[in-house]
Amino acid sequence: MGVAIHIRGSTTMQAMAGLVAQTYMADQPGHLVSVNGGGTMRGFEGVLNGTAHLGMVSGPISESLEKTRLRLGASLALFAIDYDAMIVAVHPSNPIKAFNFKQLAAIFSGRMRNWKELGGADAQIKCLIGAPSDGLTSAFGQVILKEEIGFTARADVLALPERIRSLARDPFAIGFVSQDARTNAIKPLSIEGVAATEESIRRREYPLLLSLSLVSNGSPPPSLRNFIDYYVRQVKIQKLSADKRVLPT
Amino acid sequence: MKVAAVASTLVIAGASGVSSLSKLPYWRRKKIQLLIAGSGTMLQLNTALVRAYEQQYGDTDVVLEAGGSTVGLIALKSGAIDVAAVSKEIVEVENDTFVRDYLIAKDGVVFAAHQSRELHSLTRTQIKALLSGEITNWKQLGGADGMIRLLSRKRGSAVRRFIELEVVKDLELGTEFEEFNSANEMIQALASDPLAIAYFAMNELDQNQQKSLHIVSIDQIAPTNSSLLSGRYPYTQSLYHVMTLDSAPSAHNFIHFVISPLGQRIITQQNFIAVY
Repeated sequence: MGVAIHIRGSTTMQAMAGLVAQTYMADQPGHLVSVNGGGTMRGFEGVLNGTAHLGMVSGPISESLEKTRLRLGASLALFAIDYDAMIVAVHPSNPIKAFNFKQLAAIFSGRMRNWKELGGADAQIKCLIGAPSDGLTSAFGQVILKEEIGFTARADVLALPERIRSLARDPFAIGFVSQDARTNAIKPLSIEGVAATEESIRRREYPLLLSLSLVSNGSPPPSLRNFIDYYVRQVKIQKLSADKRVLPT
Repeated sequence: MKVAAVASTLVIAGASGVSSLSKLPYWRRKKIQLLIAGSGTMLQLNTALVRAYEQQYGDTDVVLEAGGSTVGLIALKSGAIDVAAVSKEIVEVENDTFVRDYLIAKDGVVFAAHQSRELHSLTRTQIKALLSGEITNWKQLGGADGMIRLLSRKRGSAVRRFIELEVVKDLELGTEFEEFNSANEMIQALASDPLAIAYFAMNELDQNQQKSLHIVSIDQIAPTNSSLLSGRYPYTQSLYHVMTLDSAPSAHNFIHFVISPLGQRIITQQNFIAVY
């Protein structure tokens, strides 16, 4: 009887997971790996409620799911796979080129509301964020809004593709996207003096890195452990090869 | 087992199920009741699963209704039903009711061209342009000059709904297509017209048809068991049976049955992709 592994969670990790799954099934006939999205919190929830063997997570567990975890007495094992980056972007016409963490905190918490406070036009800052289930949003909040109550209530909650479209259209919008998904239609900002480039990310100099991990409920059994090791190896192989891991959108 | 047709209005399965059961004399009422409702796409599959389940568990009476995935989830969370059949990803995470969504099968929507056409793959962008009416001629897709005859399904069909929600998405479906009632009708029309292109849900095609039709890859990815399971094939649909932590033992039993080898065999027999 073959092994069946159900993985779900972060959409940032979905493409890579799909590649690994397909390669694994070709290498191991009779084994089956199913990959689904739904966002990082679906990943955590899936392993907590027993509907997934592995979660793909690109951000920290939410407060409410952490409460659930404690209530269940479950322990989660995290396996670091790769990292992406949180790119802060604005419309190409925006004269702003760089921010530090303090400024990002002021903007995304809503304390700073008008571009003129930053030397720009007299216009409301439109913050774009993802849903609570989104790992990228959770991770960004964890780093930037440490001292704040949370994201501003004035923010627009949009899925990643919609955020990118809005940033390309709205001269007063600001949002964060994954390096994987970014396009030339939006302008990335330097953060803490470091430009958001392939190289600065590869060298881990860029300060807003996004950790991509697999999570299991408790210590994984041998068959699952084998798969996780396979996954880690495959990611290294993919990164070394000339083809980028980003699949067509 | 009672099967109701797809409801056009909000139907809470529990209410109608209980009232029809209470008309039976008491000695004919089974001991255990199981209420399943939700996705119309999954109705045929669920019918086959429920039939096999009732044979195995003779003491369970199952009421199966449609109404849609969203309606099913609402009914589940309000406690009106035991299992919701859901054919979309549940993205919202609600922790007051801890839902357990078990993946039970996968399916895909595929595009097929005439046997004679030299067409290996289309991009998602091309498919969207084709369906929205932006692309109307085969020469826009690298072929010889000829008007594309797009074969579509009548409004209300599950596969057409998937096309509108997941394939065309933010665009509007175009108006230049012929509507058919069934996959078989489309296969016949496709076979006789080199200018035609049609879409099908994979579960509508038996093994022979899947082999003999000229199914096109999307973004260079062919629809196979592996590409659907991994999610690499873009038009993959995931099917779930959902219960809550408070669900009755019969709900646990039913889902356990569905993910067992016997349940998964039925899923394969119905031409869906097994996930265990």
